[in-house]
Amino acid sequence: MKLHELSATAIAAAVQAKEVSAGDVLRAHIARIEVLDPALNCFTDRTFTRAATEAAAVDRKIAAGEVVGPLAGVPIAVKNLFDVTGLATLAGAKIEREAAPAAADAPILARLTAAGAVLLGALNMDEYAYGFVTENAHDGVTHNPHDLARIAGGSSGGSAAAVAGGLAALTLGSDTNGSIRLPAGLCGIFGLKPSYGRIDRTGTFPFVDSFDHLGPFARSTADLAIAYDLLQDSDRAMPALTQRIDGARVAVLEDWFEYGAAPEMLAAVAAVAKGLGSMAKAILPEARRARAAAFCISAFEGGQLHKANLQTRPQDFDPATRPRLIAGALQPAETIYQAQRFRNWFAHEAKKLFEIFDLLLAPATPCVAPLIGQKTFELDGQTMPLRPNLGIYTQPISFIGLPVVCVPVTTGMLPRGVQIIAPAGRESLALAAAWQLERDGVVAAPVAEPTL
Amino acid sequence: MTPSDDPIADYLDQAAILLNLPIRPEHYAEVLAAFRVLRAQAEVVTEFALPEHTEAAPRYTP
Repeated sequence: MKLHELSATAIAAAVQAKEVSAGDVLRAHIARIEVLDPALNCFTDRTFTRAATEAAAVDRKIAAGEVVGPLAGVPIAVKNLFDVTGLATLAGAKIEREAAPAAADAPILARLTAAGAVLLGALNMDEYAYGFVTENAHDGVTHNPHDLARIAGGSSGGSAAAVAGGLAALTLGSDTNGSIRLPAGLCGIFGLKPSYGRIDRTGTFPFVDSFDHLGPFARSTADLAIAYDLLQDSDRAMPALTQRIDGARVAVLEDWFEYGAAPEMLAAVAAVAKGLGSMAKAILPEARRARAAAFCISAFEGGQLHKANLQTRPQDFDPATRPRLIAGALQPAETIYQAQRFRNWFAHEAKKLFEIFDLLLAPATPCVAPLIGQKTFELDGQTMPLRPNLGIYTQPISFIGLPVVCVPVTTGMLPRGVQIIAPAGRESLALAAAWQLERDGVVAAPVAEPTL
Repeated sequence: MTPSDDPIADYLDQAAILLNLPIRPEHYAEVLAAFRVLRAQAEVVTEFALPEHTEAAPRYTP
């Protein structure tokens, strides 16, 4: 197996066993980036000099017999809304290019590098994280490694495509309405959106305070779990990846979460359900309204956040972002108040459902990765605008902050993502389910080999 | 002002003035379109009769 094909866990084990040096791993990934990134457009900043220093430090420690962390020599990268020392935190925006360079890494990035990870750079995204496509007017389109004519999804498109293409073993992204789960699904990799509030957001550029989450992308469940354990102190997932969850009560979400889904997406969900030994179905009531409430709150909080720049320099925003932010900021208070009231009601309904089931399943997207530039798609027999509707199955879940592991069904066609949704605080259960599916061969994330 | 036959556009125009968020002419059509989408979504939320004791979902913890 080539070095860029190894999981983060395998890289760290090989480095620690002195089978390969961190420097060798880094050079292999830089070579991969040099060849593929001109076509994929994942990276907006490359920090290879820093990476060389970090890799050399890992190799020195190992040579000296010192203890190294669980990510020793693992090449990582972060969505460009994370603070990286010496770089302006772009958040995908032209306006933020004027920002002073960050004085320090975001704390959760620092946690990974303290564990031995090596930072390759910062990654492309939709402007201010407001989108599902990563067709950024300032930094260009990130292409899907499985088919360069298709989108990687968004807003963490660079983070997903970099892992899928073997440019990095592990990346970080953010998820407000689906921005980890959606690109993970379209790019055929694993993504974790933890419970709301689980991971510290300090040192990252906000979008919607009510819904913003941070989390990792990887090509294996174990990599997600080890990253999750490093990113916070209140939970441990790795111990859960040792036993099957055959007793878990699992159900496929019907109603809204089937509405408009392509048959191949429903087939992927069914394959995952079968892999978890379940034929049960469940309904999360009024998910359509949850999606609508998340839609309105996101536009409002995002618009208010950027109001000063929308007043004085609207021409500097991405044309795809600008109208939604302006319109969002001008919404009446009634909408936002009632949407936040509905959030409480909907969270209570989800809790009731989790008294019956332990895990819920739903597609990550209604369809496989759309073509770049595609404006509409078929949803339940109707032609619908693509951008606002790709996240219809992810938005109701982040609305109430539930933890989700997105797992990739990659056999036979373009990747299809399935959300494994757990009760708040039960990330470990969702990760254990993903690990079981991966071990049984139901889901997998092989490195994509783009045709250049 | 004289109401037009488009209350959504009327609201948007007045809100932009009141909230001091002017909409440039070259951006107006796309902002109005985005606002219409938001209003349609808002109706999906506000048409639902919540129990009166349902509180908003606050995050502030002292």
